[in-house]
Amino acid sequence: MWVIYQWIKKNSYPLLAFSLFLFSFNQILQYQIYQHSFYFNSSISFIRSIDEWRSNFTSFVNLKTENDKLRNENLILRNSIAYSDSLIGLYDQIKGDTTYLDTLSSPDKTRKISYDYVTAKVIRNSTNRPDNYFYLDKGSIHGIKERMAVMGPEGIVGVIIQTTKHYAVGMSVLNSKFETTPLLKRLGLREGVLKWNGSDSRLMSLDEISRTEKVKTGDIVLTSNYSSIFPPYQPIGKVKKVNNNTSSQFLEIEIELSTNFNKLNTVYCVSTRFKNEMDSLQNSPLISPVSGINDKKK
Amino acid sequence: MIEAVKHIFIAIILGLLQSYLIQEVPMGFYLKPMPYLMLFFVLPLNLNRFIVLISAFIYGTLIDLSSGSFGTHSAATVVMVFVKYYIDKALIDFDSLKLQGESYIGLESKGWMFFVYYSLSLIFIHHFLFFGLDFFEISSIIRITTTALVSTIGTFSLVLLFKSLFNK
Repeated sequence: MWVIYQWIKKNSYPLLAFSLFLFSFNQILQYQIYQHSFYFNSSISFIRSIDEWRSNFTSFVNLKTENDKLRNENLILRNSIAYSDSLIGLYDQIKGDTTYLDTLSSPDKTRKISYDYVTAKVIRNSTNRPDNYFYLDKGSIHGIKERMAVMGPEGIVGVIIQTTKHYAVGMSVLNSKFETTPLLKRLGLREGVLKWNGSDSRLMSLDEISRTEKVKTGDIVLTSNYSSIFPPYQPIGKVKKVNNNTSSQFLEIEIELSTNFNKLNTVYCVSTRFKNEMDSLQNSPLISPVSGINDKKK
Repeated sequence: MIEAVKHIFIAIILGLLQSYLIQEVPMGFYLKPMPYLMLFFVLPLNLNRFIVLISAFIYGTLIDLSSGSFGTHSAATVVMVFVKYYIDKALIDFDSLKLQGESYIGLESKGWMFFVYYSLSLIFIHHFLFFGLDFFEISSIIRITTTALVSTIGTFSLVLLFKSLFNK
């Protein structure tokens, strides 16, 4: 305090001159029209630039929230796409039937093959073991259930095998226990078994496809509508190599996965709305082995 | 006391002259002399610097009020008086001035060339600031400088004229 007092006492003359100048300057800005408007406009633009800087800064800080928002929006869009896909599917089913319009107007019926999406983040993931699993940051209270399909932005990822309240564990497609029947888009072929060969995290093998099928390199592989877990027509990857081995009656096909498991971050857990109904049919004692439903058709 | 009355009288005369004559007569585009500044060239140098500063502010404000230029004269005058104090302190030997029997810098105090530089520079500082605050635009800097230079010469001529009148 004493130092401040001494400083003021020492510099009283410049301080007085400065305050008198400031007072006069303030008068100029307040009472002279041109100077006032100039000052007003400049201060407005200055405040605007500060505002802009602040909004840039806050938007940068809020990027995470924005990201979450976009993710949720994506989820809603995916849900609506699933819904419209189900309408198209329904239209395909009842083409030629004039009563389909009535069916379309009734949402409950049209939602027969629609899917629910829950977005989640991968918190742990392995790719270098024979059986790989991943962990999600969401659990049963977020709506994640066992046997839900897990999709990444680029393609399929795996299946949920266990859930706790806040976390879930999924079996990655890079797992020796994982199997599914894909759809080869160009041929319309729903055949074969897609498995991981256990070596490369980008490659899977497609077995049990007859040698007579003309599978080519670059053919797109999607999920088929025979799977009770995965929604149909979701990307899996593309054919990388076809080996027509004469000693076997099946082709040896290598599929390059579209999902890069080393960069897995955001995933969508998908459940079929009427999965329980389908499961109860599958497990019905009247239908002796499961093959009754999983018939491989062309 | 007589000195104070004399200076107040000079201030009133110069103020009236500035407000009701010089300001009202159009003298050309760039020429706007301000002879009221002469007051600060005739004030005794040993006068308290705070009193000089405050009186400069009040005097400038009064000129502002009479001419409707709020704050411009007072701001420029305050700055000029502030700078003048340091110039006086640096360049003028007060003791020798006292020995000469003078209380302020006149034409003969330190030679007329010194007086010309001294008063021209102070008047220019005042005028440059005055027109700067008046135009209030960086883009008009050339016009501000020209007006300040021309008006400085005008003011200086008037100061010389009054000095010769008062000295008589």
